[in-house]
Amino acid sequence: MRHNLTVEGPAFRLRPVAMEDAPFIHALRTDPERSRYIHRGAADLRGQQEWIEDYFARPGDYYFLIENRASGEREGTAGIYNIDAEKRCAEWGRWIVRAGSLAALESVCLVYRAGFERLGLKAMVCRTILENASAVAFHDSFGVERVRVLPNYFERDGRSMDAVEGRLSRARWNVLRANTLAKAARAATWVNGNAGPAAGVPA
Amino acid sequence: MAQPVGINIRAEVRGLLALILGRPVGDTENPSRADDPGWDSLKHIEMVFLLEDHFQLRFTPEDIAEFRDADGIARLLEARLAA
Repeated sequence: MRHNLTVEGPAFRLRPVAMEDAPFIHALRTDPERSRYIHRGAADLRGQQEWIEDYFARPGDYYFLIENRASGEREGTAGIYNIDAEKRCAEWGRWIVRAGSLAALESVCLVYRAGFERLGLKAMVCRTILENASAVAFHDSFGVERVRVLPNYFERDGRSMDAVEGRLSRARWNVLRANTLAKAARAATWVNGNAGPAAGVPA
Repeated sequence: MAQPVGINIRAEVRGLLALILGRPVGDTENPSRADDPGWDSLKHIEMVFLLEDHFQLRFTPEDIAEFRDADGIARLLEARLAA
């Protein structure tokens, strides 16, 4: 849906996806290396634009562009969706970061900050294809709890793949928050030229 | 007899990688980010922190982009430390 939720970190920000992001998103989702474990992207730019139009009309769906705060360069995407208002739980995903970007860790921190601190969620789940070993390992390393395996969850090119569902509660995020944000802040010095976090950003 | 600096750096890099990856790394092994599923992007960041602290260096994004495998890390470190 159209929203105005923006979350700033030391080097990157999440901002609402806009139609002008369509070419970047289309390129990202059709990159063979980046798209191996996600649903096939739109066949062409027009298809991506139509997807974004449909997304704008879909309530309870927050799609973000990951952006370098200093340069404005687009780094990737992420989304929070399938919000259960009663349970205060949502799924997050659409997490793709361009090759060579240093946004991975900070962007995930920003997603959790968006969900827990701005949307007031109590838990966030993510579903990762088991074959996507590096992404599964990332979530494990981050501290996400593995909840269950979803057999044949994802199909692509006629092949079914299992997924693992991970869950992070707000309580667990509160435990991980300080240490994880400190790592992101230190990593931001690489992006910001060893000058420390960008100005005006709270920890 | 002092060890040549180059050999020490490679051994130290393998030792640090073993800490990060949580498994032994053999003397002739060359773990790579592309091939080792345990070398995820969070571990990668933690590895760079460890390298910075251990070798008292600060890396640039261009340096970090070269950290694809143990040998590549060692080569860059040898060049930086020799400079």
